[in-house]
Amino acid sequence: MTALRRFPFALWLAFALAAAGVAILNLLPIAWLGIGSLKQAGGTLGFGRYVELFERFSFAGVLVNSWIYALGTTLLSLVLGVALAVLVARTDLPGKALVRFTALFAFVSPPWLTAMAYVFLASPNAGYLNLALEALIGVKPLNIHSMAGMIYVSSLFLYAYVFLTVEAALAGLDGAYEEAARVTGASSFTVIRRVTLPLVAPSLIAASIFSLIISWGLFATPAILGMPARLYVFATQLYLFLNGFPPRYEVAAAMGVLFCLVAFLLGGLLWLTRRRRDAARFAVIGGKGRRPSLLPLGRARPLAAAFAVLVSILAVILPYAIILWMSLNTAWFGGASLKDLSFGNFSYVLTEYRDIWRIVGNTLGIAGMEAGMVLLLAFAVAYLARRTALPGRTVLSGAAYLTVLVPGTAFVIGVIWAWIKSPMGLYGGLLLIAMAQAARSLPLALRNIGDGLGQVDRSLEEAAVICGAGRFTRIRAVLLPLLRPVLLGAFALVFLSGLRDLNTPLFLGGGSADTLTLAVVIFNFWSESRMGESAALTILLLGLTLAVFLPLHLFVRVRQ
Amino acid sequence: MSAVTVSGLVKAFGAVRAVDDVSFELPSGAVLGLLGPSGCGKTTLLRCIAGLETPDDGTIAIGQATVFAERGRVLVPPERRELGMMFQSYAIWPHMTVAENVAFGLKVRGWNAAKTARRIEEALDLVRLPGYGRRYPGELSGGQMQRVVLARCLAYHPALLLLDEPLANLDAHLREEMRAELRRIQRETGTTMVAVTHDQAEALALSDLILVMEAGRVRQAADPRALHARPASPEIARFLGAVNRLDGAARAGGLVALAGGGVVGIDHAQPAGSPVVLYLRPGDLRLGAANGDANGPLARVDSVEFLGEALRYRVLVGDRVLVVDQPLGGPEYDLGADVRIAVDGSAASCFAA
Ligand SMILES: Nc1ncnc2c1ncn2[C@@H]1O[C@H](COP(=O)(O)OP(=O)(O)OP(=O)(O)O)[C@@H](O)[C@H]1O
Ligand SMILES: [Mg+2]
Repeated sequence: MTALRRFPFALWLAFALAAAGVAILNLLPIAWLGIGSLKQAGGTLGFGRYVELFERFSFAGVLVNSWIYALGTTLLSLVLGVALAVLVARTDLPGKALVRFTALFAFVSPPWLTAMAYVFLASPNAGYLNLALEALIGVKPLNIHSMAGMIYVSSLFLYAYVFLTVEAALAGLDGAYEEAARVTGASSFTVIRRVTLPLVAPSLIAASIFSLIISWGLFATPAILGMPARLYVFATQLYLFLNGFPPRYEVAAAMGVLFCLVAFLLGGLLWLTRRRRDAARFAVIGGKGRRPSLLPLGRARPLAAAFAVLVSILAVILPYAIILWMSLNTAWFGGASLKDLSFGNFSYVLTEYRDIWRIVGNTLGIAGMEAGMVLLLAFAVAYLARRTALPGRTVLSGAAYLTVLVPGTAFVIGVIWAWIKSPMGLYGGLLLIAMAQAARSLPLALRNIGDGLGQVDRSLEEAAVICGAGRFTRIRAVLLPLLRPVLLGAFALVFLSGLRDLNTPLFLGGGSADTLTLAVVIFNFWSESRMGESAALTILLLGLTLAVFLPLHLFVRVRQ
Repeated sequence: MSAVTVSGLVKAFGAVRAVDDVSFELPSGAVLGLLGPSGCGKTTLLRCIAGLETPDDGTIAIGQATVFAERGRVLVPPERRELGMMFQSYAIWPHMTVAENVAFGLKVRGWNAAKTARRIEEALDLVRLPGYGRRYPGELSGGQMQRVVLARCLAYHPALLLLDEPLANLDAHLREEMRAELRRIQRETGTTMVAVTHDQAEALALSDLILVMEAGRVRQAADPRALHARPASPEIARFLGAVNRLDGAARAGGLVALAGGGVVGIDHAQPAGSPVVLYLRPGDLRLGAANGDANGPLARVDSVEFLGEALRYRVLVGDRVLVVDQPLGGPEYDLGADVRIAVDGSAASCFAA
């Protein structure tokens, strides 16, 4: 029996469409990143650009900075994220809702917001904290425009990713393992260290590797904090290459390739560890659904609670308060008195600034197109991979996951290479920006939807087959309604991260006014030192985010 | 006319032949029980009939239509086989009401609303859940869910109903009730059924014909009485509960001289002089006084448990353990007491050793 005949035509068609989608979104830019890096002066192919990178652009320095930045951020994020995840999932910590909410909020709020807020708080000369400390102890000790500052601020964003990943793994853990250890007389701390954490080691490893790759792609924080101090890392150096005269696309591509190679290497290692644990996985994630008893923190409880509250304040409450304050403040760099407060910044950006509504429209349009593409493609790929036996389904889902391994800014370089000369005129348009963002968020959505599909017992669909339902009816009447909360959740995540994406529209928009988004305008205001306007627009974006997030959240809550 | 005809069916998962050359024919309106130890391929056989697995070889016909013939010459997809199936895990759609669950198969077949509503009511009446249509599955007990599944299967009058351990998730009391219910519904509707179970009492009570499977193969096909009386092999006898093994030698006249002493008469004579083994259920042995006139060997009481309606003794004959269920009211013995065993030879399954 040939494979072709074993599956109906419609299934092959769906496979072909999904494969084409993944190829266009993911593979084409990655391939072009490689090709672009090999284009030498004079039109020949070779490794000249790599040589140039080291000889003319002191790439070694950037490399060292990037590694320090990425490793530092990953380490601090892991410490914060894992500690909070264990506290929330496994102990009797009070105020867990606050920790969860903070993490979710930090994850969907724009990373540049925190960076801007800390410029106001801790810039060497005029930061509020420095001023306050000077009044107290006579020195201004803080300098946010430093490597330590960059790592600190980036971690306040990235810890949320670690927290969300690890907490999910911990929540699925069978409590019997810990209870068995406690019965032997081990203290809570020993149980966590010797039993809990080793059991979720795979997700810890995954979280660290992905954190590392994400930190290479971070642009906003190093741009806002590092560039004023001439501290360049991978993403900001790329920005310089693209915005220099002439733009150096080839050198940028070469640098992107180098970072991708390291990421692929790490990804390969991760894949190996994954394969080894697969056999044991089922033993750990029991289906009993019994809540384990929580580990008592004892006298450490107030301390742990203080830690959790402190993180919430530093990561979300303080930055948002500062940005709100700045948005209402029309004095340069924030006067400290209440009489300076007004809605001047808001009225300027809403009425006087050029086409603000068009910019809002662009932002929503890009996020909408992105979410649409991602949901459709992620569902198709997850379904084909998990619910059919088509040959090539594993390759398809592997290709869909591939962008996880490509640092965000490097991927954008690939997109530029792939489409800049395309006859379809996509370059410089909203659709291309949406496509590039879609490629970035595809893995996350695919994972959520794939996990959701995995939790729908197969017999629910088989029962529908037996009743005489064809594949299409099964998907429409059984699978999609059951997956509705998962799909809405994925939609919210993709749409919200689409609203606040800065790298992609900034790098791909080519400075054109037609493709400006809120994030880009905020960044431009900031670059022109118009901080009040920048803050006001950030608040506007936050309003937009909440306007999307809250109804969805309520809707999902009500449905359950 | 036969409702299901399976011949030479093979299904392998890698090196494991989960179904290995299975053939049978089931008349219309009859119930086939698939019985066998865990992992012997019952579920796989059922899923092959349903079309949820594609066999490697053999043919399957449902009614007049061949739905599978070897090497893909014919392969009717499950949704066009016109059958019903009860899954071990219920597989009730949690996002639909009871009525919507039951109506699903009718909607797929394009029934109009009035006809559908009438049939839903009929089906729910049949399973004794009238008026439950508006409820969601989360609001039902385990036994009620089981009935909903049954109603969902029966609503569109499939010619064949497949049941995978239909009663496994129920407690003992509910299980017996549902078993009788299943039998009643089957009789009322005349539906042909294939039911998987690994509980022998369930198989005996439900089925008209039983296939005993082991390692993917059919070891015996018989009606329940014949199976109970004459298991085809020592393994089947043991699986059906005859856990006591007695060695002996056949004599003329349908007698067997037991190794530990005593002579019993059995129903199926073996050639005189040949060594034989007898298999007996715990209820087919009795204990009597050591100096009494029981027909079996001497033994010593090793342990005793109270079962409710009987006492279960474990006794040692030499170094072999026998299990004896002694009804209450008979003589009772202390641990370590010497006893003589009475053997009901007519209940014994006798095999050449
Ligand atoms: N999808 C599969 N992949 C690989 N092996 C399988 C698969 N399904 C079943 N098997 C193997 O086939 C054999 C028969 O399995 P099957 O589920 O039919 O047993 P069963 O008789 O229904 O057992 P039980 O009474 O425990 O349900 C087993 O050895 C099982 O491990
Ligand atoms: Mg089974």
